[in-house]
Amino acid sequence: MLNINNLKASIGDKDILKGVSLSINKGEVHALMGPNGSGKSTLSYVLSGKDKYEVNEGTVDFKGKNLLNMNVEERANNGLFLAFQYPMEIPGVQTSFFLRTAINAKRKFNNLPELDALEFAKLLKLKAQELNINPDMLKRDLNVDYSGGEKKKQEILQLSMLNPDLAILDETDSGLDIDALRIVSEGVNKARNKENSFLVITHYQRLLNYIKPDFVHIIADGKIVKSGDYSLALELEDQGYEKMAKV
Amino acid sequence: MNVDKFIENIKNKEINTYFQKNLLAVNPFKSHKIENYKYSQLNKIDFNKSHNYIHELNLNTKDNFLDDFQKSKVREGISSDHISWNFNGPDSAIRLSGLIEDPFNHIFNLDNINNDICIIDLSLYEEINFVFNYTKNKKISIVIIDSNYNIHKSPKCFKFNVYEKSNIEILQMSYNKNTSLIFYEFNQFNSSVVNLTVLQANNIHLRNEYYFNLGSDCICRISGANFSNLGINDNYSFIQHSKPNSSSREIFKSIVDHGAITNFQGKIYVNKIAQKTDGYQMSRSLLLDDISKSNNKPELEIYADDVKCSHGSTVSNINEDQLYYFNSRGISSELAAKILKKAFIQEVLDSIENISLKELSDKMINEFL
Repeated sequence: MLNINNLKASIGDKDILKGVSLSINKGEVHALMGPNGSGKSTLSYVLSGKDKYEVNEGTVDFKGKNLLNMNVEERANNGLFLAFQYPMEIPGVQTSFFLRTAINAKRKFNNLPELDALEFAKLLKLKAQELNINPDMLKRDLNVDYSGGEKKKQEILQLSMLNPDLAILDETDSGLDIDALRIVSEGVNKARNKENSFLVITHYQRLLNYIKPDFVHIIADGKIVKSGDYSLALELEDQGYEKMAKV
Repeated sequence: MNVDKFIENIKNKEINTYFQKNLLAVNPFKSHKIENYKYSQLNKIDFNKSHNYIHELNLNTKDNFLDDFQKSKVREGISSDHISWNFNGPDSAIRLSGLIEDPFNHIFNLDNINNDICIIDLSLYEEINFVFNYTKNKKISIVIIDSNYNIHKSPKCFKFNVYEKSNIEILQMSYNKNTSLIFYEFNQFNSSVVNLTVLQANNIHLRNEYYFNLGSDCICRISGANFSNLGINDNYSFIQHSKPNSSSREIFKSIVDHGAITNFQGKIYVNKIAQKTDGYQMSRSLLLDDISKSNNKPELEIYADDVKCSHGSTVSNINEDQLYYFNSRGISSELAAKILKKAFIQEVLDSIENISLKELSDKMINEFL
């Protein structure tokens, strides 16, 4: 699905990613853990194609295509989804309208007919119920005056509506209370299947209690320093980043 | 010419407002030397030549959005004070047809209209100096349509006398290659409500001026959107709080591109006795390219000592991070920009109270954005 090879990226003069290599196969869930400033979020932005970041070296192969050659919306339409740590507030744009535009953009890209208002409403209702989202929230402006938990739920709602091949969750657990964490995780688990993959970025092992990863990677100073299975996350929780990230 | 005639006409009338005494007494084509109006350049423009621009334009010029509305709701009406205007039930609209003998000095009694909506098409009249009187508490919506290559050689003037406790909504739609000069004067008597919405799109030159004179306990709301225009677009508003306890709220939004220049100047003037005035004014511009220009000049002039007045002004481009958010969901930059521009003027659309007019305005915005 995704093959990152020796990826180096910088912002301005500052090198942030210093040779990341990571391979994610169909149906797998990978967790990426690391201390603040280690390059976790940068990796997610580079993969989604934010133009502030410059790729200096390395290759990224996504479903057999060169990801780095595509622009942001092509990456998204090809099946890459980034759930943001801080979703943007968009005043004046209704949440449900935004979702419908996004779905229809993807369908158009895949040469499918656009969803009409009724079909869309049915799908939205179903998915919103799964995530315990109040339908009134969908009538409000996108992310405007949403609580931290509502914003994250809304991101996962987008995820389940768009049904991407690879979803990157950038610290989706930050700012969530325990109940919201459970609901959001259940949403992710429902979206999981044999055909899609996840890259879950987090500081804490707690999220991984709900979303069980197949692999855990530790990133420090722009490089992946250790990889293993779920037990690595437990070990990390026990010993802390300072000790584990040195290796 | 007509301007002199107009001024003469105004002077002869009894009502003394700040507008008549101080502002209209000078030539409405103000010189840019007058400090109060520093951005104006309209005196340099030969309006007769404006139609030359029309052939150079390559913008959308459809107004199909109006068709459905016209067909389903609108009936022609005759503007006579002796006939009670009631066509097709209260939900329908009435359109004044061109049977006005002396459009330069015509007084309409809006009380005679039983319809919720009254439409006035400016392209029907060469010269206009309409006075509207309204005394009823029931809300009436006036739609002023200013379109279709309508080149105003002289200002079209409207005066609204909104009597005590009456409630009026005005929607001005200026679109399609206009050169438009419009003056409004609103005299709001005690406890009256005026809700004015202005939509300006796809015009060549505009100069619209809005003068308000508020009595006590009045509510005055002005919402304006100016987008997809060429040339110079001037909007000037002057809200005078003459008596206590009135509130005014003005928002004006412009989206400027194609090398257009948008000027907005708005003043809230509070008389010495107008205590407890609540005034708010906000002008925002979305400047989309380097060749366009946006001038915003908010002003407050306050002589009372117990008032709440605030104003603000912003100029910015489309937010890159918002655009990225759309892109990351597979939405192209082009479509995202269109949605964000619509979102920018959504607040103006929301201010329209009549639902069928809101739908109509929504269609107009989608057509020209």
